[in-house]
Amino acid sequence: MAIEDATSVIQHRKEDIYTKVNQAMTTVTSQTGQDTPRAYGLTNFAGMNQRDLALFDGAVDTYRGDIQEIINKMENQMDAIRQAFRGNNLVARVSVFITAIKDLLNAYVATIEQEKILVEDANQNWEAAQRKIAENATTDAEAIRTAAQGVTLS
Amino acid sequence: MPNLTIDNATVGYDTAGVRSLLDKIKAEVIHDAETAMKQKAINLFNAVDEVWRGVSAEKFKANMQQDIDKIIEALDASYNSLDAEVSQIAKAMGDVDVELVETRAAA
Repeated sequence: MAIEDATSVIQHRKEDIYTKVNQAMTTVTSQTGQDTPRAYGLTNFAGMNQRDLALFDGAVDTYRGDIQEIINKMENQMDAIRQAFRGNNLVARVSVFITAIKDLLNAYVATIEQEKILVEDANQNWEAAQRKIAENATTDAEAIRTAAQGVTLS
Repeated sequence: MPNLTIDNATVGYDTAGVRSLLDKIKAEVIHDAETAMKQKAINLFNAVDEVWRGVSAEKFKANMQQDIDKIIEALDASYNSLDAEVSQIAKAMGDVDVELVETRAAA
């Protein structure tokens, strides 16, 4: 397979990942009956409190930084390869390879950030649903109390 | 940083050196990246487990793992393409070398 073909394959895989993310962003009917953004098919979504969400965000940010570090390390390693191939026409091939790999990993980094945002959105929707349920519970309790007060024992 | 020089190359191409270089790319770039991704993902999953439980958390981790598998698959595919391309070039250069000087016919 030629490098150009490989680049095409990588591009296709990137698009596949983007498609997957876009699919994950389709809407579903939430517990409140409203259409809300969906994070990765998160049915039965059990949310996090604000403290845990912050810890979750931090963990994802750390992971994203880890991947960025891999990209940076790879770039340094590839610089050495460029030097090793300096002066011959393999440099062009290696450069295409470097660019394709970096594009792929950078796309992945962007995907990670997207995933974090999706979870944050889903968590907000979960909190809204919880509030709605709590409001309904309060209303129901009031109705029961009022009804109970109307009951007389003969 | 790995030593990736082709010490024995005379005209810029050295079959053994190119093979060695490709092996280094495989071992020290591709494999290292893949290993690091897997290890860092474990750290992420452990962190997620501490703050988020339930079906959704498991789905999140499964989807993250699926993305990682896709990236690793793409890294392997791209390396194999590079290997095939560079090996083809090295072979072509070797063929040129074979034909470069003809042996003089015996008198």
